[in-house]
Amino acid sequence: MSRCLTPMVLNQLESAVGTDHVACVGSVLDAYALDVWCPAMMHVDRGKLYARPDCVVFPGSTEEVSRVLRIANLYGIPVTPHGGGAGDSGGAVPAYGGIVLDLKRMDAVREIDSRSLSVTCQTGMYQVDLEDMLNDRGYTCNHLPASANCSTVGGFLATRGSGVLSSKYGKIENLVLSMEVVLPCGTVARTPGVPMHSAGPDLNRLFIGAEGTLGVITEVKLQIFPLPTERRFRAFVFRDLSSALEAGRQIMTQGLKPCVIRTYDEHDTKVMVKNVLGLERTDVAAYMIMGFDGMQPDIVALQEEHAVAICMNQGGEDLGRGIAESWWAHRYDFYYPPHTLESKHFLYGVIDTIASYEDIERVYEAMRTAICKRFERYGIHFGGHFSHWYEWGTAFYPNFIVRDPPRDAYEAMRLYNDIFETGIRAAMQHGGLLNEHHGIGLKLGRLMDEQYGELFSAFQAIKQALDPNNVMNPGKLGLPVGRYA
Amino acid sequence: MKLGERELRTMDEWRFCPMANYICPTARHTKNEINTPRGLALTAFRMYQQHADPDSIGVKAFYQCSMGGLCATTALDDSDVPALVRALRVHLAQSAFLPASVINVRGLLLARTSLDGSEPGDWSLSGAESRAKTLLVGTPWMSDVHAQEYRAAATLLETAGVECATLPEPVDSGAVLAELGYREEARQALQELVAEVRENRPSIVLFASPHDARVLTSFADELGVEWPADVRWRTALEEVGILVSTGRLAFGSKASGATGLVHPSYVVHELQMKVDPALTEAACENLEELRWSGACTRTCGGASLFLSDRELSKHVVRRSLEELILNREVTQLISSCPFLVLEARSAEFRVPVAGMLSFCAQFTGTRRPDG
Repeated sequence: MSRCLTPMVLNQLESAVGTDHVACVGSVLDAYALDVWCPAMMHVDRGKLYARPDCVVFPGSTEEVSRVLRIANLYGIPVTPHGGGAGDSGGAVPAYGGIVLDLKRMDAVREIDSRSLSVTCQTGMYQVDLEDMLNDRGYTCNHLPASANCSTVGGFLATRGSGVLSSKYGKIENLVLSMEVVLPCGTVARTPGVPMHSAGPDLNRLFIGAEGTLGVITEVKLQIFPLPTERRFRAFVFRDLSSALEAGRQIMTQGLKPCVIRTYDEHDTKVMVKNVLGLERTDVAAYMIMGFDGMQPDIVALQEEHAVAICMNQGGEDLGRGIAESWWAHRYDFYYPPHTLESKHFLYGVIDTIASYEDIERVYEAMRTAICKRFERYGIHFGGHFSHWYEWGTAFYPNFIVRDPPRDAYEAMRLYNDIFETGIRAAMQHGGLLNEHHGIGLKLGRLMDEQYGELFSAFQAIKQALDPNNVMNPGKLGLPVGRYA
Repeated sequence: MKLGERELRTMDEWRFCPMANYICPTARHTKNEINTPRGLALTAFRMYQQHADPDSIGVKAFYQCSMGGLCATTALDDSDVPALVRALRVHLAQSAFLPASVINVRGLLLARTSLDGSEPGDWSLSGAESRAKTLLVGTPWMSDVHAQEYRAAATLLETAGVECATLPEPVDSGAVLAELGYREEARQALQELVAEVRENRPSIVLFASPHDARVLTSFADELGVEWPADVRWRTALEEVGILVSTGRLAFGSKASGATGLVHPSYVVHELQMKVDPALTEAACENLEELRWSGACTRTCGGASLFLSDRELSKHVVRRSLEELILNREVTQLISSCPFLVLEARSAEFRVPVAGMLSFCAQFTGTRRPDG
């Protein structure tokens, strides 16, 4: 029995959710000690645990979540919400022990409004289950990130995630109409029924991306869409990255609505062209996949036609549909065995950033130069792609791999942190931002005050007001840890 | 603890990979990370590396795996979490934390006693020809469903004019024992069966329950027991299919209702067994083979979930069969596996589920004159 989980507390938790829904046996606690944050996995590899909860609680209703949070407040026990455990920032790692709140029992669909096109569901539902259910009825969420098969709706809300179709359909916050939230003190609150009103700030946005530090989102009403009758993809190569980025910028700023633009940098282009496309081309430096979809095939075709013309004007070479459609069909393959990077004892990560079109190429160059130079001795792989395009800019999604990291878990984490700081600081100096649609979590919290400046104090004040006992997911988002330290 | 190359690779590839968590029928019910493919591989890893000691819940999780292998179907290589679980069970079977239900099942299997408390009745068959070249092997003592399937196999073979020998004493293939991790006991059971086969000198052995045939496809190498090289074997259901497709067996009538055929995943993957379309057409006007993600049922990868955690099995089978017949007007289900029938019956599933041999046997009325 841990220090915080006294028999009295355990008894109260069991009364709150039922004895079958509280676990405090070692093997279960171990299973909840990590998500896919690389340092936590490296600790496991080396026979350690980065952190471990004292118990895991499986609430079945909003009321039960409320009861658990009241108990946690009464005794000052940390609570870490847990969805699919698929985030790579340590957001679901119970850094200071306490209660892990696994929300997956809360997986009911409450309502589908086919007139207003919305679905109301509990947030413990796997996104893939929600999507399957909607597809059966002719609808889609159009929120399809790589982790759609292993993340919950709540996970996407907590991390303010983006799906592969975000350029057209938006990020998760753009799909939220309203939410039910259990505040840290246990109070159940609901945001107004629809967004886009002008009555003060949009409080949905206060909780989206808060990674459970301000409460637990238990139910959400999301916008849905009819399944598109037409969805088509096309691939291009360019002789330089600048031309590809300019093509993407023109597509977005000329009012076209691609559902996908994905532009690979030179390093990843060479890998893709050789290994995926099977082409021996040394004269290309950027590879782009773009997609258009919708309910009217003629409009889809027309949009694609304009986009193709833009790409050709920028010197793009049309590779046709086949390979792009193959990418769509197999886009999740990379995450299944034997390709799972986490299985290979590598040190790896994604240093997600976002910037305006004015800055994005400089951001890219600065990150690449800084990381490749500083970590050359580790034989670091650094490459990435530009995805999630908007009218004003785009996100750069670089990944790094160190194939032979230090054996010691702490030393490996030190290197990991150094790579992230080097990359993000280089980005920030050139107009880029911390982006991380996997969540800030433990990974990047220390950089939050740099990003937000004075406003981070305001965020801290909100946290203090809503969660005076600091029970909700301590250690995340760079918020003060206080008494847990 | 010793694990093979494939099991070690499976452990490495899955111990941090959450991508198949949502598909796991057990985890979909328990919601507990420890029941997921990732949770099982991680727990296996920590035990294997001696970073963590087994505990009651950890050991139980290895017996709560439905062994259906849906997670394995998502991998792009041959990594196989159920195979890893099966390998772990060999070590865990000696654990002090072994679930009482599993220990109990071992006792029942060794005593050749009904596994679910049902009364198999008198399963001895009259007219079994002791010198026949076909030997029908079954485990009718396991439950009344096994007994029904055994008798149905005999009826179908007799109708087709196939002379069958049977074994007078109850035998066990050892398949369930092997599945639960009792390697020594399984080896002994299989050795006894092989000795009986050698003594009877058949040219072919037909297994009334496909589960028993599995001992040869999945466990024989591991158990180090050699099947007589001159004795062929197949499942009775495969034999009946051959008899129908070659015109040696015909049915007097057929079912008219919308029927779903559910093969457990081990039948598809390990036995590589297909039911002859001629058989399904002969037995039913409207039969559809139900598959989930190409792997057939999400639930039944063998007997173990039903036998090791009856309560969990009810929930898992109910949910999984509901998903399998979603948006279908199915009035009955048939399955090649008696254990799936038992699971569904135990779960009081709303659609009746019958063993496929019993289903076919009810339509025997005529034997083709040229058969």
